[in-house]
Amino acid sequence: MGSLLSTVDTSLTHAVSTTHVHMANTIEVLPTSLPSWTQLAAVGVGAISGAAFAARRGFDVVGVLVLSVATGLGGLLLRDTLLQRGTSIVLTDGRYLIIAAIAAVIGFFFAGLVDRLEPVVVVLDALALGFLAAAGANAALAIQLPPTAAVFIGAATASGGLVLRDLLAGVAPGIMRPGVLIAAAAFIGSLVFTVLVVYTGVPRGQAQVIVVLVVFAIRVLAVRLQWRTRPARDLTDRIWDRWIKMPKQNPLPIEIAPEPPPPAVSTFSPPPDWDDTSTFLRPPGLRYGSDEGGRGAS
Amino acid sequence: MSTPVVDVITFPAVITITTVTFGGLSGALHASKRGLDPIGVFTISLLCAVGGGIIRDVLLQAGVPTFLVNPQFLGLAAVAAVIGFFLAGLVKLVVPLITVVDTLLIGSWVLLGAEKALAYHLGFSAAILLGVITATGGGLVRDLLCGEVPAMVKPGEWYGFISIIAALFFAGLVRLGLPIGVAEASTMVLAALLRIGAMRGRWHTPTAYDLWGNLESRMATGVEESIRKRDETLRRNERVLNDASRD
Repeated sequence: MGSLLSTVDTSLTHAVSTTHVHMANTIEVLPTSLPSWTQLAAVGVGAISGAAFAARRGFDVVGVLVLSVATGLGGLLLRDTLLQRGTSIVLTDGRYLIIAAIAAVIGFFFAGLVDRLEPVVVVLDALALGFLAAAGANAALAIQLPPTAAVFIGAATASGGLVLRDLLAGVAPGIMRPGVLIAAAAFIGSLVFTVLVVYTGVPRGQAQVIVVLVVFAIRVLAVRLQWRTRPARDLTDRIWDRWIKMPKQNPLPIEIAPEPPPPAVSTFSPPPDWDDTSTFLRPPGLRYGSDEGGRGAS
Repeated sequence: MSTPVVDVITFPAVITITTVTFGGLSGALHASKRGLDPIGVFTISLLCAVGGGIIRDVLLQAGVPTFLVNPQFLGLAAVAAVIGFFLAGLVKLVVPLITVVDTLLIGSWVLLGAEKALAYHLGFSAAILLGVITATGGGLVRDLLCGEVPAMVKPGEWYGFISIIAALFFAGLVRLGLPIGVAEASTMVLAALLRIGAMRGRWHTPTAYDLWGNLESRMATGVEESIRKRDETLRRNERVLNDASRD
């Protein structure tokens, strides 16, 4: 009887779980998830900046909506697509799309205000970047992916929305320009999160707070102090010249004649007529006519 | 992922096939207009036909994308590409027909995405998003591959806007509890009517309106300044529209 009951129970559970299999497989319901309001707020901030970007370029209402959704939700969509654990949280949780739509309305009507508040937007963007990096790395770690994958997923989640925005707007992706330091900050943030969680055992909530602070500091300092990331440096020639290339023999070295040394300036001057026996030991004051104009007679 | 227990996809296969075929034909036309080689024509044609569906299925993560499961889609796209490549003269004769059919089918593109989202028990905002993505994804991928700014984000024709309206309309009807067939039919009719109206009346989509700047200038410098700013905005919009229509 007990076994029969348990069988029935299992089959019922199975039926229910097949019905909602896409829900059960979403990343958000994993027990190790971070608070969802952080992701929602990050999505809202990204969506507003995307909408203002579109409005500034003179796109129409659809363009504003598309770029708002792409900027806000692109990172999370990319993360969930790469992780392949069921339908994305963006689709199963209706709040994300509603927030993106509200942000699009704000960007459509108040792009000037958003531009005016640029320092605020930079600060909020920096916070959103940290939250998204932590969310991406956390989702990858929650399904037991190796730490390197978690770092990659975190960086992709944080910067994916901006890449998608630039791609759709037809401009070269700007996050990797020298001097912007968005992709670098996202990478460092997800690296810090992964190291903290995997190697030092810090609880995920605390690790998230630390990551948000680190990314925020990097971004804001980069803007304030105008840090620049270096453009790629080609070390090939230096390594080749220094370590690999055989030293060339100069076949006929051109010898440059050394410059003649400057004439030695001597302070020694012989006493007047010291070898002139005719004037040697002559009493002072006694002169001869032939001595005038003679050697040493100056 | 497993298949859904409740399957509400009752969309007639004939309409699906027609939609995909004409999507492929319009893609082939676009590609041959740009003088692409056979591979390019086939790629663009295939992506116009099934690109939106691919994005939809990848986002849904509901198993293998439909165009791989049903080989007919690939075959239809290939046929469209061959026709577009070799029979360009013939296709040019029926360009108005293709344009008309393609634009009338905008509603069914939306339904292809929105119904699948509903079949997987997703919410209405997800259904709207997937409907719009399915309707506009093909053109989006086409423009990106051709290295252009996607026509969807540029001000111009009412295509993406109509797909948004149609998706909202369909989701609203389903939520009101109408039979799914009625909702489908009325959505397709509404989308087609809007599209015809937009083409006949040369409607342009609205561009962003700087409410804050307008209020500010009105308060700060009075009416003349605000009129000057408005004229400037209008001129700029006119320029953007001209740029968009020249492409």
